[in-house]
Amino acid sequence: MLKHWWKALGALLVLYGIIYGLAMNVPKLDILNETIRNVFFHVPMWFTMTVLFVISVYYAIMYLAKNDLKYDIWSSQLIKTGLYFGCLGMLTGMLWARSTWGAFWSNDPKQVMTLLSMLIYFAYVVLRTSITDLEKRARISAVFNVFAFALMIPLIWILPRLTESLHPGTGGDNPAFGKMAPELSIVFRPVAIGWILMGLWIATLFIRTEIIKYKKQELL
Amino acid sequence: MLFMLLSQAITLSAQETAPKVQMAENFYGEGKIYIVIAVMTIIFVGLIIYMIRLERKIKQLEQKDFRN
Repeated sequence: MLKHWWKALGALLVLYGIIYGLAMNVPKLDILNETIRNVFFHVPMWFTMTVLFVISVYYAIMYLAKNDLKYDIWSSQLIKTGLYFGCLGMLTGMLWARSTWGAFWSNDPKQVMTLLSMLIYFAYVVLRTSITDLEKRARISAVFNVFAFALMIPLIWILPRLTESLHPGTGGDNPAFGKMAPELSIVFRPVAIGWILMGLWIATLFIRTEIIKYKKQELL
Repeated sequence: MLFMLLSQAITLSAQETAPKVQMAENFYGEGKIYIVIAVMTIIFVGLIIYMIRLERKIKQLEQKDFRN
């Protein structure tokens, strides 16, 4: 029971976001109106995706160092889970953009660059399915992962902030840790941690299932 | 342009002088938002229970020896 505490914590923090995030009084912001509550749901999707990708690239490097297929499984399943969260973030973001910026897609720098880096990670998934040799697949995946990660960080987290963007956080402001109204950020931070923990939990289920699959086929 | 409006609105000082922003005051006033919160809570808790059950099943499979 003790080793599951972080899963319970994640679920409770997300629940806190659902209950208090909807019930609290939010600042009255022009254009955003009540939709500002979406920061408790839309933004943590991207945080979760990024955290999962960071851990994934760590295991990719571990694979290259140790040549153990287990690291390849961890790395690849973390990317799959991360992409799930990325898709959720994209869909929720487009819906939110429709009501605030007027269109599902406005070619905002952050939208375009995020889509681009997600496509790179989708290419990773496609690339994996096209290689049947396990060792080869693991090695190529790990190298691809490192390059995808090296592109993802500037594409999502750095470049959009240096240009004019509809997203908050241009001109060097970090919206999560600076410009957000304090009554929002005090709720946002724990809720974001909750979503990240949920993402890690889901990823572990993916990883464990995949390991069982490998063992059943006597590949591990 | 939009961003400037947005960042202006976020600063607290601008809020006091800002024109009236339409909020879902009736929805909150009549207490119906709590129904939405209750529905979302039920669904979320239900999904968590599903995940716990799924994890137990995975654990059972992990303890099973496939090489027999």
